[in-house]
Amino acid sequence: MLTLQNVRRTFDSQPVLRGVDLSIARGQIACLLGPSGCGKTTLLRIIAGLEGADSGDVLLDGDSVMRVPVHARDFGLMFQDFALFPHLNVADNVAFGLRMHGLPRAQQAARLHEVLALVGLSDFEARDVSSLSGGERQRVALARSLAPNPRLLMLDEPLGSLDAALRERLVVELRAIIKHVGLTALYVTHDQREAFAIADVIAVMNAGRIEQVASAEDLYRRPATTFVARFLGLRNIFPVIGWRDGAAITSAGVFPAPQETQALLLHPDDLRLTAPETPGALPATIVERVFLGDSYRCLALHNEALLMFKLPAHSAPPAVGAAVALLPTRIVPLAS
Amino acid sequence: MPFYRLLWLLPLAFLAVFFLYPLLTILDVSLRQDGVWQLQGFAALFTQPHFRETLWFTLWQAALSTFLTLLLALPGAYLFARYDFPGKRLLAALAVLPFVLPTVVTAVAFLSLLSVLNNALMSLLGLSQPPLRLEGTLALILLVHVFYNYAVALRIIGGFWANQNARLEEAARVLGCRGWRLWWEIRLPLLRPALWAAALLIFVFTFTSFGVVLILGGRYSTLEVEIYRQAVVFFDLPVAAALALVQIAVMLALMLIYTRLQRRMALDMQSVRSVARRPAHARQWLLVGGNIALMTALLFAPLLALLLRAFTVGGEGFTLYYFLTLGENLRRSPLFVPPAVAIGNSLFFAIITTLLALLLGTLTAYLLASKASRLLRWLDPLFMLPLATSAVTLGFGFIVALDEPPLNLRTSIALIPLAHTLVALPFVVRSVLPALRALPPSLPEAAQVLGAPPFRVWRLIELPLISRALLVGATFAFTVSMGEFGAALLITRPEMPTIPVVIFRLLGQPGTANYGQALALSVLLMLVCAVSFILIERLRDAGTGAF
Repeated sequence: MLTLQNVRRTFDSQPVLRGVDLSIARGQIACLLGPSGCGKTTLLRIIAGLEGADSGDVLLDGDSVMRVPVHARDFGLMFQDFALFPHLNVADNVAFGLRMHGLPRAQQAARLHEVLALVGLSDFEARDVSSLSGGERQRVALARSLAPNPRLLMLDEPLGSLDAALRERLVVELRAIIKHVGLTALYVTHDQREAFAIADVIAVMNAGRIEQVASAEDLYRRPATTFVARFLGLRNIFPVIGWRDGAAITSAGVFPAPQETQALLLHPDDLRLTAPETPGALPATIVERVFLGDSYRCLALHNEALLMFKLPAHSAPPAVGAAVALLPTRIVPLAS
Repeated sequence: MPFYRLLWLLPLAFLAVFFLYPLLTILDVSLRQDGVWQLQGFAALFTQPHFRETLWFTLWQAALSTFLTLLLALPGAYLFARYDFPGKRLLAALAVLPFVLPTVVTAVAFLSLLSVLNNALMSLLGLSQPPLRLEGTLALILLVHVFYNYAVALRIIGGFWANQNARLEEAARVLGCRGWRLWWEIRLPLLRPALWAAALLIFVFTFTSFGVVLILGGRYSTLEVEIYRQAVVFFDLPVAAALALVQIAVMLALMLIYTRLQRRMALDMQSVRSVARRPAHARQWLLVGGNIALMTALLFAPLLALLLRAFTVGGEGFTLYYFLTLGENLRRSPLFVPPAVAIGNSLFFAIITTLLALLLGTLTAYLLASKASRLLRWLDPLFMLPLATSAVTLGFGFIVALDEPPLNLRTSIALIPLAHTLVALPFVVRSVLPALRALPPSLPEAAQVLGAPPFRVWRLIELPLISRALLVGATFAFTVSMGEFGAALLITRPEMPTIPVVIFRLLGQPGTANYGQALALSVLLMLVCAVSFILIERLRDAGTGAF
């Protein structure tokens, strides 16, 4: 439905987007996930028409929208700070887009009630936006961008300014509302948990490029690049330092891997304690053990390599200094 | 309570004696003649159409000046908030220069501009009569008012605009808003507090316009000019006092609204990164270029014309004659003093004013910055009152209040520094107070714990940290005193006039000699103000201190 083709943008001779390709299917919630400064907000603004691209194209249902001005694109955009108009009350904020589209008054009122009910703010019509709490502002902003029934809803870190507890609750609610309306949405965030909670498909961005597009599960289980793995907080990444008989040499050992592999991820979730004689087991010494409440996080030294793994809280964990054997059951090859 | 806290009483006593007492005396004079209560003065205001007309003119010329200034400054404010272009900072700084120029200098500058333009047009078109006859017209008054207040509008509106959340406008555009609707529905409504604040301030300034109207206004006269005429020319003190009271009432009301608005603006301000960009298309460059041209023509042409005229007046090419003869009394009139003497007088008064205002202003700032008592919150507006009282009213108050024992200062040379200190005090307080409030209390506390007694704490820790603000305040006080006209005209002793008073006298006399000397003095005064102004701009960190 939305297709980006080789979108490039440079600010002050600093490349911000270095050729972005992406497709989003109708009804899908896609997420742009990446650290700040990776270009995700710029990409969103280009799609919205608030910025221009140096080259590349943005297609909606096969037609380029690059020449369509912002106000005529019929997109919805929710800003990080919500950008509620301070001189208008809740109802006037939400109805603003309806008015701009020249909807008859009666229909405006009907749609206003409908959207406010959808976000749970039915009694808030006459309220001043400055009197609202953070969560209420977020709902007003959502209602405002939903009201004109946009062809595409974009959300730029819409929960970024709220506290963590509220964020966790609202993200689930947000997904429910978007799915209920059946919109195609593009959600920008730097928060992995938010992305996992809301998105059908996640595009991880780094330094102006998309590194991987996948579902949350695939992303976590099979990250494609070192950056994606690191960004998701995964440890046990070992660069390939040489090849022997088609197997990659790393400080953690030699493992079979495809040819372009730059590094290997010994996935921490799939690193188990095992008997020393098990084939493929890595002998190691426990160097650190931290109780996290729901689990133990252990660090073990194997040759030069530090391996991280977790043990359930109710298990009897090996003591620091104990000799153990670890079996990696999922080794993920990482490109670049 | 340590003895040094008693120092706080000093500014309070000063205000009581030299501000509140004269004001109360004005009230007394307006209501009582020869010990008998009567409303003669006020009756005159309502019965004589002349006063009604004056009040009406004062109101509508101020409203019209305000409207025109906003109208002309709005595009400028927009461009300054939205675009980056070469020389932007310099232009923004220079645009404020007119604001610190004394009214007499400005009046002379516009007279110079008129004669330069007329000369050029006459020789160009072969006319025998000057085509632009603007002297004494409303158009000229309005033009000068715009000249003066353009920077006020530019700073308040432009600053507010630049700090405004750019996402609001983008949100509106994404929702389908564009063109004039964007202006009407988003930009202007969001700007409303800044527009009102600027309008109010400009209205206050133009409502109390004195020098401009007195020198350029011809038959027009504002309340301020009328107070001066009634007090000095006709010596009708009850009427002058009644007029002054009307003026004070209006000013007080406006200042109250203004402080409220300022508080609202502070609430609305969100600090966001600048969204100013370089103009991208030819059309945007044209907009920016056109506006710079307009600003230059409006703001700098009069000043350049003043310089040009001062060195070429008399029609014999470049001459320094009027600068070199400033030490001579070209009129040989016993009533007049050589202009150079006025320079000495003004410097003398300005130095005393600076010292006095700095002392009292710093004490006041300390008083207001301390959280000692709830009484203080009530005092804050009291110290801003002199700002709401026009200079002519202050001068008039001095005349009626300080002319008999116990305080007979009628012929004292102290009158002018005292009046100027009152005018300069709010500027010093406004400069020093933010610096004091920004001073972390832990610093003097640390010094105390390390064993420094109170005065050494102040000298070694606080003084160095607020020295920049003090210097800004001092420069303000000095500049205000050098250029102040309204009060000086009323209370100056004939043989000891200040520069603005002498310029005014010279302008009132016929002949090239007088005019040339007026120009020369104006140029000198303009340079003093320009130098002070550059000093202030350099010393003042962005964001600290405000008018």
